[in-house]
Amino acid sequence: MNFANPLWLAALPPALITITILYFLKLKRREMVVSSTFLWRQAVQDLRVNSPFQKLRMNLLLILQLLIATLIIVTLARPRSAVSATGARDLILLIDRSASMGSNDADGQSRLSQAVTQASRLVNDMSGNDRAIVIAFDEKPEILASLTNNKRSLLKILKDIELSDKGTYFNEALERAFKISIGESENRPREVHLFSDGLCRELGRVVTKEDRDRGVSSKKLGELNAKLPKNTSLHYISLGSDETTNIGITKADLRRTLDSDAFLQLFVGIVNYTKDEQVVGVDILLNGKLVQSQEVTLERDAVTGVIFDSESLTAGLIEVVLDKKDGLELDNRAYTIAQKKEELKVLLVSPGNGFLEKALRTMGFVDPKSITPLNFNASDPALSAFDVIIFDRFQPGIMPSAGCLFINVLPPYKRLAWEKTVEFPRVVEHNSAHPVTAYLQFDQLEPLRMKPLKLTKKDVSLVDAEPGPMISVIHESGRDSVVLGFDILESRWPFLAEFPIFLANAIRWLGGAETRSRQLKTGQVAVIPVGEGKGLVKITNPKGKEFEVPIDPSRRIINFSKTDYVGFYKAQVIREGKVEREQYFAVNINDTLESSLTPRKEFKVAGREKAVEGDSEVQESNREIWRYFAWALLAFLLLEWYIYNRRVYV
Amino acid sequence: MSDYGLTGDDDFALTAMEEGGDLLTAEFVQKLSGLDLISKKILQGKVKGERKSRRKGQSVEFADYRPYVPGDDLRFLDWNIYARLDQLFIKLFLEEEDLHVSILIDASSSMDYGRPNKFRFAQRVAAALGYIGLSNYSRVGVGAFNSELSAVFNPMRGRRNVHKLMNFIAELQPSGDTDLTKAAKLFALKNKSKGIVILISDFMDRNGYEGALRNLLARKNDVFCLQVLADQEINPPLKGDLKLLDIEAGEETEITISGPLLKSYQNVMNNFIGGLKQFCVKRGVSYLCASTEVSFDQLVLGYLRERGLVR
Repeated sequence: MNFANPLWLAALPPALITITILYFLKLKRREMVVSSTFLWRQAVQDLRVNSPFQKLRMNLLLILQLLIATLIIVTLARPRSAVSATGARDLILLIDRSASMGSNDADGQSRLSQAVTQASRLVNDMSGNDRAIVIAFDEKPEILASLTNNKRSLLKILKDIELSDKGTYFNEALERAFKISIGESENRPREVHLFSDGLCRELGRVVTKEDRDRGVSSKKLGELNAKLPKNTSLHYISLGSDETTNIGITKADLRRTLDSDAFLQLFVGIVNYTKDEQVVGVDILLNGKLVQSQEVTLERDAVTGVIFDSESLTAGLIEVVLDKKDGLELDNRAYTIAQKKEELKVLLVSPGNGFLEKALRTMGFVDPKSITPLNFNASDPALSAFDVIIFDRFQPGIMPSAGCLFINVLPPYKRLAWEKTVEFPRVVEHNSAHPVTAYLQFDQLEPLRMKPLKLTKKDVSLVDAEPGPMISVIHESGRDSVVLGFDILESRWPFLAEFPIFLANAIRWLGGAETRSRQLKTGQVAVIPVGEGKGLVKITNPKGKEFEVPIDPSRRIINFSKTDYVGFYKAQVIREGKVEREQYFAVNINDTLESSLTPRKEFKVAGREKAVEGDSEVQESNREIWRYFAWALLAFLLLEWYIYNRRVYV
Repeated sequence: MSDYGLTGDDDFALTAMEEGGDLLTAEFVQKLSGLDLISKKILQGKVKGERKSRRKGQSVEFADYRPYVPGDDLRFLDWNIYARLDQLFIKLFLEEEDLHVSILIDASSSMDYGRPNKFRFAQRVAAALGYIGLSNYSRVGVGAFNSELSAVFNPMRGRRNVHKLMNFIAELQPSGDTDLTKAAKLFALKNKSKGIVILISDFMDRNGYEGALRNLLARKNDVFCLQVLADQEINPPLKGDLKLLDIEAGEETEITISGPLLKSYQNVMNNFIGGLKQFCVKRGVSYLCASTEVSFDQLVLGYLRERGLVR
């Protein structure tokens, strides 16, 4: 047996001594007149002779009082029976604070508060020498408390953990925990407790290859797992209920209509994770005012796409709201921004391509410039004036800051390489969800030859041919480039109507005119153009918190990474005390996985044969047994009362 | 018995004065009128009375014969015997004389205790017995004692003295220590005539009661011991931590009431009562132990009759 509050025991000896002293000092005997005391004296004498323990018996009430005082103090000291005699432990508490942890399960308690309750129980159970560390994680882990045995501060830290609006990655959190376990020199048992609903990136119903790769079975985690000290145990506390259902917005994209730049089209993707078909009302708010409302029937367990096309949908802050109460409130809203039509500046670097030049001119871009590779200087500061640069069969030495379209040439990234050239490739499929290739056909492209590109998990294939990706989006250093693996002059494309449309889509998308460039996922870095000169940027997040970021005069952008919450962010560029320009960007969760809400009961860690199975509750190593003491206390109190009021023959 | 809770009503030293009331009610006196005190012994009286005496004398009850000696009253010659035996015998008759009744009341402080009060109880018993005695032409004397003979009612006879006797008894006040032996000795010296001696006391004398009884018996008295105890002495309704004050000696005794202590007290009390009873029985002394809880009627009309003190 041990005690949760052993300090109370120190009060025991003084309490007992005080009661005893008070009993003898302050015992006020009631005076009682009797006819004669000589019979009583004789009785007392007889008693002493006959029973040696009479002194003790006489003080039965005193003994009971001492016993009761002892029980009170022992109860306050919270005795616990040690189920396993572990000695001093180190607890590593990993608390998932991702968006899905905010969902309310049947009992009305959020998953995060369940996690905090359970973790607090572990902390309360800690014996004097146990230490604990608290790590909250979503996409990234954050150490909130280093190893300490200060229960009060640990409990406060746990209580103060706030939900984030981000997704979940187990990997990095577990890596951090494993590193702490490996790095700790003291040889004491380490317990890693992971509190989560398990909706981490490799799980869920909508699993992409990318998701799977980012899952918990990373190579690095496997290596760390192999190095873990033998006395490290991994516990997974699986929170949440299977019964919790949800409907969520997974996508809200704006595009200008092809025929007229004046109108906007809004694409909304809604996923239905309930067991039945659902009818929900979808409201579209422009700058906070309702402009359109529509009822949508959602198939079960699938994403339903809805297009909103209205004249009232003009530039401004657009909010999509699902009119439905469900498990997770967060994904019932999506935010996007329709910018005013922006004039994009385009530069073509080409040894000579009449089709391209003509297409650019007809599309109405302001003063599209065309230069030859010989005149191109990658370090020319004038390049920063262009929003999009098209490299036709020419690779620049360094990547310019503008968005780039590469035709039959690779961007200057070392990781990229062409595969073997294939002749007469046949187009297999294209990515109809991507704004660059949506609503286009590529069947009649018929290039003479193409070079398939080897893509990594960060990149997206837009058009797939038999040998491999033909048109791809390369994502590197936070920027996207579109790469064509064939020469358009060796294809039928310039003669097709799709070509100028593709070009227009690609330039708008790369140039950021499409709202997509300003619509971020939580946790993504927002790149904010700030123009030239010193100053600072004041960014106000959806919760009203303000951040001030100084502008680096050598760059025309700033990076803002604290996109923790969904909603609209306002960025004000302030120079010499004046607001020079004001812009908004929207941050969404757009995560089908976080929306799915079905908790995962186990997960695999590379290097471990067995999956880590989830418990619904923490296993207490110390069982509190103060209740039994409290019952005994009550019993003794009643006994004392009885003895005091009745003349009991002991 | 009332509730002997810790609060309030736990002072059992209610004085005889406080208890008050008439010693004898008219109704009770009526019940007493048919009774008489009797002695197991045939005792010698002082004047002619209604009781058999040791002396032979003139009465209707035949006692014995004896040979005639000159000078005898010829009226008592038994002529029938003379006719048969030709010898002269004188018929002897029992003499009837009065009975001497002495009532000794313990008027020490220890008697002033209990609820009902022991002394009051003793007073009433004494009054009842005195009344019976006077009603039957016995000579009734009363002595109150503590460590000595504190008040004496000189022997008187005749119903006309009932009032005096009652007044005397009613005015007695308990005080002082008990010294049974000394009181008995003084009584014996003062009261030479033999008779019934009724000793009413709680017998709670640290020096013992044996000497007193011996003194009384030495005078060939017919001794009757009536031990009066309060119910609070027999079954003390005490609890908790107490400081007991001796009403007589003023001594203090600190005790903590517990089951075993109460048991031990009861053993001591039983031994005390049993010891007195045994002492009395061995010496032909009538003994009765009465709790003040016993109804007075029942004591006088029932128990004392059973013990043969009244008839």
